[in-house]
Amino acid sequence: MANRLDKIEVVGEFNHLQIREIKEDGTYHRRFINCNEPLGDDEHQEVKDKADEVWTDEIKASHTEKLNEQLKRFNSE
Amino acid sequence: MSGIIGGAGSKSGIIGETELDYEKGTWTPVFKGNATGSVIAHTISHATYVKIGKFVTCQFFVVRADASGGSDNVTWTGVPFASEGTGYHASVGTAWCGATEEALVVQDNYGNNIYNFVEAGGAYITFTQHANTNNIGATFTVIIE
Repeated sequence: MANRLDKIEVVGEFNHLQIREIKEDGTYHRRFINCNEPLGDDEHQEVKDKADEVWTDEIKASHTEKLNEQLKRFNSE
Repeated sequence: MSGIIGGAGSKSGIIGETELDYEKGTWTPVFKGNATGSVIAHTISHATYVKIGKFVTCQFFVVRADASGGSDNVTWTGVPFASEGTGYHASVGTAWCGATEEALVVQDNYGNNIYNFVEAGGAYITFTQHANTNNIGATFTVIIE
């Protein structure tokens, strides 16, 4: 990761991660990572550690179940 | 209003005794064919956000690598903040995907950070409808947690 990690926020029912980074020019860049999204090899170690901490198997399974349930409604509308 | 709105880490000053949170930056939209579909290759021309309190206005303009069609809904993720609540969140702004002259809205799928374009009649815009161009752009505002 070329950007410097600035902040990790854990948000919502499924502990999604909101990442704020600082770019070389001093401005912010943000990313949003949901709990079932694979992390890249070049991800910040702190983000990997936070994901390991808060993305439990139970959370991931619950999110998948909720997403599939929502997608059924989404695709039927 | 006193204070200065500036770059990273700045705040917009004080209104009375309430500090107004302000932030701006870039983000990374990720395009997919439907919510669980494959990532659609694209180049980001522009993707920025401005956060003022609980309101975040995002904009992007991307160019798809392949302008061919597909029956999947035009879907993107990566909006930098989680929206408030768990239902649909329609956010009317200026949304354009080269598909229709009808009004479009941008809609978050149940607060899951999964967004689509929706025609005025309620139908989702698909890549087939979008096949006449590989440019996609939008400006929209979300209320965050």
